[in-house]
Amino acid sequence: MVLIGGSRRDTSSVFIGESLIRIEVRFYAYLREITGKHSESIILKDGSTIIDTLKLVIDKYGERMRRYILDDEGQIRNNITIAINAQKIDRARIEGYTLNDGDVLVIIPPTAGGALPI
Amino acid sequence: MNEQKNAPSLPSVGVYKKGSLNLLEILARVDLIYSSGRDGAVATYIGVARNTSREGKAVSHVEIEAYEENANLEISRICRELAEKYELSYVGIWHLTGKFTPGEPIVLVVVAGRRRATVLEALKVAIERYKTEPAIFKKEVYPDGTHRWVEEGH
Repeated sequence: MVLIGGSRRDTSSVFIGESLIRIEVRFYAYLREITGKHSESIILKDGSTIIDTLKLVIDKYGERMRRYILDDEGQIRNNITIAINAQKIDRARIEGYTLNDGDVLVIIPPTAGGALPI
Repeated sequence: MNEQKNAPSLPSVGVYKKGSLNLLEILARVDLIYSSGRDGAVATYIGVARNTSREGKAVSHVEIEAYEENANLEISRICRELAEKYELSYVGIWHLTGKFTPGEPIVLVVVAGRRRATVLEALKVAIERYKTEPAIFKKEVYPDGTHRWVEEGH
């Protein structure tokens, strides 16, 4: 089960002395309307995960983003899919999935035909 | 992208920006698939922009966008898997993105094989899968200027 909650994080933190990676997060459809942008470059500590990134995005864009991605239990909604470098990530693999420098993470909203199968 | 062997002159399956691919021209060339005489059935489907929503509300136009890298992968996978599962000679899905007024074609699906029963069943499955698996999104825009991202049913 994937749970997201807890304290807010400063998305502009500087990680002095730590190894960093840069990833791209892209937004489509309703999510692009929330963010007002198609993509965003995010610097993370090496070893950061999909969940770390989702926390940052939710903290940055607030309640609309939170309600769109997470259900009342703080879990990723069933109709939201995460893709890394165009490949959908199975729900069971999201927790603990470690990102690499240059990865493109996409939070895929529900498609025109309904919930995605993963 | 298109790994099927018997339609070398058709564009690769996947998503294309409106204006860069003419679906009706592909439709006019499907004889490239069946002219060998091996196939007994070819089924085609055209998805068209509609002037009403599922709830019956007037729609002035729809906008289709895609996460192209994912959508192309997923559409290729659907075509490959269905061709293998139903022993078909060809499965093609071409989906356009952009702004569409009612009456304009958005997607073309072509399925060819030896027998009509499997061809028709595969066409139905192909339609259901392209609507859910590729990261393709549809926005309905209404005459009053409001809009809604559609999450169920074209």
